[in-house]
Amino acid sequence: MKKERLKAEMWDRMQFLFRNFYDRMVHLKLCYDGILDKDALKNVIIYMVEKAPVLHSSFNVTATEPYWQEEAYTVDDILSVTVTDNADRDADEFLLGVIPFENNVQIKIALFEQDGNKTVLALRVNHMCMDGGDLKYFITTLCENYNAFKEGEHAELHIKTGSRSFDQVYSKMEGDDLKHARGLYHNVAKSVDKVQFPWTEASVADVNRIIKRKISAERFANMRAVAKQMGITVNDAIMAMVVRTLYEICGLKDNDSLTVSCAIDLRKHIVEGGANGGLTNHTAWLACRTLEKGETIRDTVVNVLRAMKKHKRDKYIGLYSLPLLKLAYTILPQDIAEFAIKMGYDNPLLAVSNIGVLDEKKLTFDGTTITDGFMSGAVKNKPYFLMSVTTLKGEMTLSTTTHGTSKDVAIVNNYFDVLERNFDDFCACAE
Amino acid sequence: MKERFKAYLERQFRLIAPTKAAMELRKQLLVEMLDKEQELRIKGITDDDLIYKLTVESFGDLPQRLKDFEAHMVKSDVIKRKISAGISIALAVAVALTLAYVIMGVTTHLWHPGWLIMLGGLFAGVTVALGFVAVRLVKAKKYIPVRAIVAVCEVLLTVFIYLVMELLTKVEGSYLIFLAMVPLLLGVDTAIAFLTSSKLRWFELPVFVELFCVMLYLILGLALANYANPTVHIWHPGWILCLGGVVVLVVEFAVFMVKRAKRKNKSEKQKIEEDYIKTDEAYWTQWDD
Repeated sequence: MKKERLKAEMWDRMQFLFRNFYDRMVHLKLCYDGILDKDALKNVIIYMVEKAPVLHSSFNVTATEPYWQEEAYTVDDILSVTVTDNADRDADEFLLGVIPFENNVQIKIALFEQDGNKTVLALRVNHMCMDGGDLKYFITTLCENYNAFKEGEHAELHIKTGSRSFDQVYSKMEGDDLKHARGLYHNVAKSVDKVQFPWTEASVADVNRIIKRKISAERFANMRAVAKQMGITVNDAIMAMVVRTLYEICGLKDNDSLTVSCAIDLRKHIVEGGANGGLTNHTAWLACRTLEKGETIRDTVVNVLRAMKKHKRDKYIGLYSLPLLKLAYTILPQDIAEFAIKMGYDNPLLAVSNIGVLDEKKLTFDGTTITDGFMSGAVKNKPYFLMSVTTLKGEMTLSTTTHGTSKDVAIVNNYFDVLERNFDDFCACAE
Repeated sequence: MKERFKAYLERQFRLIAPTKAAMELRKQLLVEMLDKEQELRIKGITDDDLIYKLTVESFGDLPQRLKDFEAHMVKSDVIKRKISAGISIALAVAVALTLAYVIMGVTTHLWHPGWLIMLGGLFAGVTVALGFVAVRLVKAKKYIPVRAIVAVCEVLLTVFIYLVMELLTKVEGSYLIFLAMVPLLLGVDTAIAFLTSSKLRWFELPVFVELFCVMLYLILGLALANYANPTVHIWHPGWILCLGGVVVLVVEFAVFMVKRAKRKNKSEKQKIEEDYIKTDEAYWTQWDD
């Protein structure tokens, strides 16, 4: 069969540029009681990877324009199955690996089986192929397809296969709105505040690490109830806690300003939420800039709301700079475009990505019960900090990924401790 | 599996006429399907139904592909016949021109510059062939190659006219035609740009006018100084002619600004009317939620 060449879309190229800041991997871990049917899983994985050619392509860089090239592969390049006495530890180790962009496949899935009745599914995928939003779609569809396959319903197998182009974000707009959105050339990626997470200095001892903290279902439900009482979203509440925590652990004065970026899913701008597009990235950053900490957590909530409201009320939320990036990648050769974009782009130093709910019903493979799981962003190089948030079975998992030492792990754990204290303070606001 | 593929292909091919070419295509598709099946098995799929589904889906919209194939077959035969006829005519013209050249040479000893007949025929042949290509491209709305083809034809015409002027009529300063060729190329290209509503047409217009003025200045200057009256020259203050492009650019800018202002005034007036003058009792109670 002829190997096709695929266009490297704008977000693929942006994520490629981000190799300077992080390892380009998105991570997912799901724990199950029960054992999966390996043969069925293999069949379904190949079905889905065949339908999404970017997942079995290598990324090739040329002087003018990079491209994806379809490559030969087998299921063994993607899926590995290991019987182990500590599935959890082995899955965590697996997640820290990196897939080179020149590799023949851009997704790796590992099953770790323990005691004949427990399975941990670990998955890492090149961020250049898809973001957290589409990874959630991918794993949900994998479960649906697996279950359909087990029932012999082959006609039910599916995966979205449409365009991967960034400009789907304009699909809901028309007339003056569309014209305005396509003219949003100004650069919003320049940050005023340069506050950094208190990592240790970069050293040769640095290795990839994922650090997690669980918030029990009961505590999370309590927090949600308080947020509802205040008339704010869970995301606003989390942002307030993070902002307050960072003021404390970054050694800021109460009246210093602080910028924490917040990931936004641009699929809200796409017809049917991007259900007709292909697997790709549609994520942008919003800068939540607070001018002071606030005396109490309530004050911090007010400050965060003030910072977020101007974004929330903007119908072009997240669409700024996209035409500028597109222009740079269209008219300039690859190296010059990267250089120009790097000059005008500040990668967020402090960021939060609320990936949202992992639906336990949709993530259940036939014959198993899901017990735990989380998704996490790429492993950041210092000084960048990203906290990912996912919720499964009512339990919230906070995770951060870094290339650091055990001291950095201690610093992050301290951050989580302070965050939990602020979490409790927030919950104590209940009337 | 092979039998399933065969049955599937036989079903699909009933959408088009049972020609020999269709049969060949059906056989070829079966080979491709079997290759795909083998590839999927190597990749790790063990389920026959899934292999069948993926293989069939990998061929995309087969009914449409078959309809395209049928239409293309008919069209391609027409094109082939047209090309054959064109080649025959070209060969006949070439033979006729060669004969004319030989007869002229033998009878009047006009071997030189009689060869211009051959060259003219060649240029005319190339122009006609390019013309056919251009017509097809216009139908397909691919205007950039059309503009390139027109430019090539203009260059050929200029070269031929120059040779005729130089060799037959011995016109002094015939090389000046090459200076005239530059604004001709851009002028025709600008005209095509306007006819096809090219995005760059308003940018191209002042460039054309500027080149036209510069070349006119050079041609007049050289012609007057060398071939008319050496005492009369327009070099100074004739250089002012070269500002023609700038004048057009300024006029264009002014027109653009006036149009923009008019457009904005109109939309603002409309907005004021909608927001402040038009009344509706629903505006007292209407909310977004």
